[in-house]
Amino acid sequence: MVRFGSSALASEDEPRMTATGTRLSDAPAGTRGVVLRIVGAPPASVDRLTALGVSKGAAVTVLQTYPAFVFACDQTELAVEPAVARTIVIEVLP
Amino acid sequence: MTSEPLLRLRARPLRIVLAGHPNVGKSVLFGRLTGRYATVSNYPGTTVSVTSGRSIVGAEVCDVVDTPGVNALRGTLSEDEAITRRLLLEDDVDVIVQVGDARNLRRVLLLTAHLAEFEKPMVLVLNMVDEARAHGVDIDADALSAFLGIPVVEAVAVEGRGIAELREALGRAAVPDFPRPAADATAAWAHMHAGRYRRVRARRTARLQEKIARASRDPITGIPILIAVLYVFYLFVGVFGAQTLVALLEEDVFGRWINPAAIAAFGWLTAPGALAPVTALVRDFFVGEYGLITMGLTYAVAIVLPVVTMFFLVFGFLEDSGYIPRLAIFSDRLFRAMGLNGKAVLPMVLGLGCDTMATMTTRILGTAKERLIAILLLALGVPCSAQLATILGILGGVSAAALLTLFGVVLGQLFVVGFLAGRILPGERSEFVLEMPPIRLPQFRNLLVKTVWRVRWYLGEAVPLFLIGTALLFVLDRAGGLTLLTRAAEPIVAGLLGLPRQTAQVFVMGFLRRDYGAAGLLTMARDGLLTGSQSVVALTVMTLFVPCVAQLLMMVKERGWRVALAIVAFVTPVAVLTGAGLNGAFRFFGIGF
Repeated sequence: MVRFGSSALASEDEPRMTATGTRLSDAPAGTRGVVLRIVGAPPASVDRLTALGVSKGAAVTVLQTYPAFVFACDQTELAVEPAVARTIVIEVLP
Repeated sequence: MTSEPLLRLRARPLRIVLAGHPNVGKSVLFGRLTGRYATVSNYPGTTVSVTSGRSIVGAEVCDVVDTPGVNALRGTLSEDEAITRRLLLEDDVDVIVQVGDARNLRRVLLLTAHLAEFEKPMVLVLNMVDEARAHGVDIDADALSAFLGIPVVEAVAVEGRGIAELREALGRAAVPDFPRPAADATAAWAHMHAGRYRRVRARRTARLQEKIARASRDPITGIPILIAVLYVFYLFVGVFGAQTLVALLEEDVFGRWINPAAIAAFGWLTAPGALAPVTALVRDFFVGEYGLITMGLTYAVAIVLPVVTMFFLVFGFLEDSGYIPRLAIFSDRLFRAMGLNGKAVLPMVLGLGCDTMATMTTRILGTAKERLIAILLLALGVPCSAQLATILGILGGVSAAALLTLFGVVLGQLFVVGFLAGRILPGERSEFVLEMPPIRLPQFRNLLVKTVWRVRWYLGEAVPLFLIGTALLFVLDRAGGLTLLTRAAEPIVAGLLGLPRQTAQVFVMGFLRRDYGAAGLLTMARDGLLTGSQSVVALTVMTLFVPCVAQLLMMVKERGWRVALAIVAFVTPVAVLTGAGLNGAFRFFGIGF
């Protein structure tokens, strides 16, 4: 059984991560980063994002922020509404 | 499975199920394995139902099953995903072939973990390795195969590469023997192992495809591109198809050759004396005013066929290019106001091809409420290909203002109804999350095969109905029913809508098939029976009017009788009242086209 200390779908109350990270919705186009966690989204939404590859460790690049939010996650290009982008927390890479 | 030789004859054919993410090429692979055609496009959700076909693997005949794409098989599932899951749970599934996009090993492995839970022999196909390499992605397939305990085949299915390897690997299919990750650790597990078996080199500078992708989604360039696309579409379908080709076929081929020849042929059929009325009846049945040849066949082949052929060709090009889902980026905000989200643009645009198929595609939407609203809007005001083309054909000849009036009224109606439905109907809307397929240059071969396949489908589906409809009209006409109907509908058709009385029969034809009615209107307009304003009113009513029989049956199938009938009961008065309002407004303001 392969097990990890923390789940990739860490919930909001996981203490050691809350201090860092930027919400994807706050990142301007061109930002590169790595997904830290998904916060404040209903379980169904977390499931769907995970299935599309948006989970801890995934590399993301913000491509466009309006009229919908568009970003590349790993090799997948995803369009989401702003409310969804708010639930994705990333660590911005320089 | 591995210990059993393939050459042993089984009680039933080996059942192979193709499963994988949306838009990774399952249908292409299906076609390559079975020689059967399954519709292939470049957006998720093309395959909405399960298709199966026969294939020979080794010395054995197999049933190959193509399934709708899935993103997950546990947790929260969409309707499509639930269908695929149920299918995989059936006992008679012998081999699961997971088809994955080689660029996206993380997601592939996530789904592999889900599929492994079915405990069936598996083969993993990493498709589109050519695109993966172009993106700098390299996968160590041998090491991955050793880790998963199943054969891993690299393929470029559209070119037929890797198919022979897959056939060979099917004999080695095995139940995955990797240690299963815990449910809540699957994503992390996939992330870790993707990193282990995949190398991503630094990417080259943006390729042309990416530049086009960017231009088509950025509003500053995207809106002008959309307008240009619509204009080219209009040129192909509305001008070249509905005007040039129709004129050629209807006036020259049918008007000068086929119909005169048919009339001459039946002209010989005159018997003297008592038999004369019978022969006259037979003659009229084939070549009279409501003749099978002079009306039914002429409408189907001369008026609608060229239009739908052009439509399928251009539409197929757009489908394969990957452009259509990008429209969701622009329309998300609009659709959210209607209780839907940007994803709804897919069934709406597909409805322009065929509302019946689009009604089925609403399965890709997240909630029951969204599916209901989408089906309602499709029934209300999304014109299908042939109807759209006849609209373009008739009003294109009147004026641009007439065309804009019709589209303005219909789109406004769709928005108002959607807005109200979004507020009144119970339930939730789902969040907008949509994967954008890569922009690709459509393959000429697939485009051609798809168009031919769809035209054949049209001929098989529409021509019989056109003929039945014509025969029905003929009988109705002879029995005096047509006069009765026209008279009964007169207060509405002539009074409220201000149209010529005989338009009533065109509306009846429109119920049999929308394009049949539209072809009737086109003929009326050609004969000078409709003024420009009347054309706008008649086409608006026809567009908003009840769906055709096939669409109604599909609505019943998808949502049940009660919902279907409620939609019809709602749509019909809306159509008539909108037409009446339009007619009143034209008269009041003295507007003429």
